[in-house]
Amino acid sequence: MTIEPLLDVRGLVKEFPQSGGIIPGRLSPIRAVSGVDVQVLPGQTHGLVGESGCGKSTVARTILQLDKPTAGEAIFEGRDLFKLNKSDLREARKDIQIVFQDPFSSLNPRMTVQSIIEEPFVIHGGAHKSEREAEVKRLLKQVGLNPEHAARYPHQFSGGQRQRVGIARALALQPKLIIADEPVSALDVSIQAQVVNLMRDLQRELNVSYLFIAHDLAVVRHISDVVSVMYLGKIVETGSRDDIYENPTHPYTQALLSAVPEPDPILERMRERRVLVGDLPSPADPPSGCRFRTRCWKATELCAEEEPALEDPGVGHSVACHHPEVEVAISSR
Amino acid sequence: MAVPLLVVEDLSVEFHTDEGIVKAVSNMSWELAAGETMAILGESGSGKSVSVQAVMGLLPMPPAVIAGGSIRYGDTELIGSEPSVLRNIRGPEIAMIFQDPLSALNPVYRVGWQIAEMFRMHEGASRSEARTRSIDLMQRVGIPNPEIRFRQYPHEFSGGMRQRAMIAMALALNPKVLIADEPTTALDVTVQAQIMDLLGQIQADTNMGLILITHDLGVVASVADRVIVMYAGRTVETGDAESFYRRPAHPYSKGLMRSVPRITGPLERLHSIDGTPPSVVDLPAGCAFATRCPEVHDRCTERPALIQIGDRTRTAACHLVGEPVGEAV
Repeated sequence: MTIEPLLDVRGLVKEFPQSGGIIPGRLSPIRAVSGVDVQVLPGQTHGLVGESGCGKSTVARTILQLDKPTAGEAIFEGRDLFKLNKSDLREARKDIQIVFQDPFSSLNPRMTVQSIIEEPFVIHGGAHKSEREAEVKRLLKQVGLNPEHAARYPHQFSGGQRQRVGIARALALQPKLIIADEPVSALDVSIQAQVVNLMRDLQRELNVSYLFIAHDLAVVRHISDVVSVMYLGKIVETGSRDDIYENPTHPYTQALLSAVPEPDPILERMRERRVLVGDLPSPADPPSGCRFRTRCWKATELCAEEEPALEDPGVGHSVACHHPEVEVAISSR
Repeated sequence: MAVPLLVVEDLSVEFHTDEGIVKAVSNMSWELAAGETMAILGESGSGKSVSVQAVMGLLPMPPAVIAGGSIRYGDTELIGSEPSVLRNIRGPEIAMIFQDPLSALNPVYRVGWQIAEMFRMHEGASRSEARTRSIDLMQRVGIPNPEIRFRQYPHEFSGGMRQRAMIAMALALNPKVLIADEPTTALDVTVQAQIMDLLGQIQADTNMGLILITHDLGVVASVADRVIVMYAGRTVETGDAESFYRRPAHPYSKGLMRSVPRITGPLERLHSIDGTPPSVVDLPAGCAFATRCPEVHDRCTERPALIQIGDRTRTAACHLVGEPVGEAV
């Protein structure tokens, strides 16, 4: 790769201790994230998709150290975020902001929008009061809200407008990277499109990078340059957007895509759907070898014995599978 | 069309709150026949759930008030009927499943017991008979190891398995109509596919009528025969699914269809509908979509009636669709 990544996460591991059991401390910890590599290039969007419990949100939270990582490194502009001391980390966080899923609980109901958006300035000490006011007005306008509404409280806004406020707050310090954790999944379709478009426009305008975390494959397709698919704490397939959507090679990615219903009854009737059997295994006790093997229609003995590496099976992008569906993937499109 | 099982006519539901009267559902009408799948599509606050809660008698009254209309199951009018009459219809004849199976199942009773209760309460089955029939039913809805699962509590079930358990409870008494209110919204997409397959398969076996309440245009396209689109408590468009998806007529349906992100097809900028839905406390006298409508014009200050369009069973509530301009769309 010729362009230096803005964020380069390598070997990220996060374990959560399990409480309970008869003897304290005897239960082995749950590995929510188990050796994940993610790179975000300047001005680009890396989409991280997976179903609930796959560890995608934990990746976001550990990068920002809202949860302490267990192992791994996160190189941001040449420095490992996980090794920074408190004041350096604080400084680095100006450049990395987060937008949360729930626009109802992520904004303090007792603060006006003005004070919500200017709080980053207050915390990181910058700008005079009058400058801050002007800045908040500018930010509100930038995210498509009426600057006159700065004195209002969150409950006076709709869900989509609240998510815009959350984005304005994230933009306040002109970050280089925004980590967006399911930013549109709580919104109605017509509003969701507004927010996705806003994020794309802002990226073009400000050259900000996104790590975009979502369970909705269609939304991720519309915003990402690079896409990684997670299953049970690991990335099973990663590649450019077109690699993943035009040429999905891991059986899990294929099943995931085939499960998304398309808004077209004629297409739906003709489609062959690959319905996965069973449920996600418990992350406390993941299957040996390939973690997807218990639900995979191609699983063999090898899959139980040996964990597949994330590498290119000759399709131009990386897949962690012993039996990648190379031909099938191409001919089905 | 076959003789309808369930007929809703001119139904209006209001909530009398401190802030004013919320017109949650205004003048809604539909019919459901056996073996048919009808989807009620709408965004949050559109009244899609309230409309079926009125059918099931689940609305808290007060604040809810049925302001008008009729709900008939066969020859029986449900609005204002005796509780004893309703008990024999709601549940045994018309069953319902919900978005969140965790809150619909009682956490302190074993799942099997909750399914078995249906047989014991409604059919006076013995303990062992209820148990056998419940285990059969659990098997039928695809719960593996039903003998073991019978003795487990809801928290020991995954989301998809809980939804299956709830479907088992709903199906216990062989209902003629099943109402599914966002049955897969809380589930992952791979599990959603399993549950929708299961519902389709059960419907094919039993020929029951299925009402699917959802906001997901994809889910609707995969199963529905007919679609009703709601906006701000009003029906804005109805029709058979295939022709609705091919040529949505109402500007809201058109906008909605174009704003859905897709996993195939050209990657254009998503279409978005500007603005937000009006407050249901203070609905405009005219068309509720007028403030967001790209095709708004003078007549939109009058409330549009549902007008038949084309030669099919399609209708739309828009002043534009009755005119030649609308036909061409």
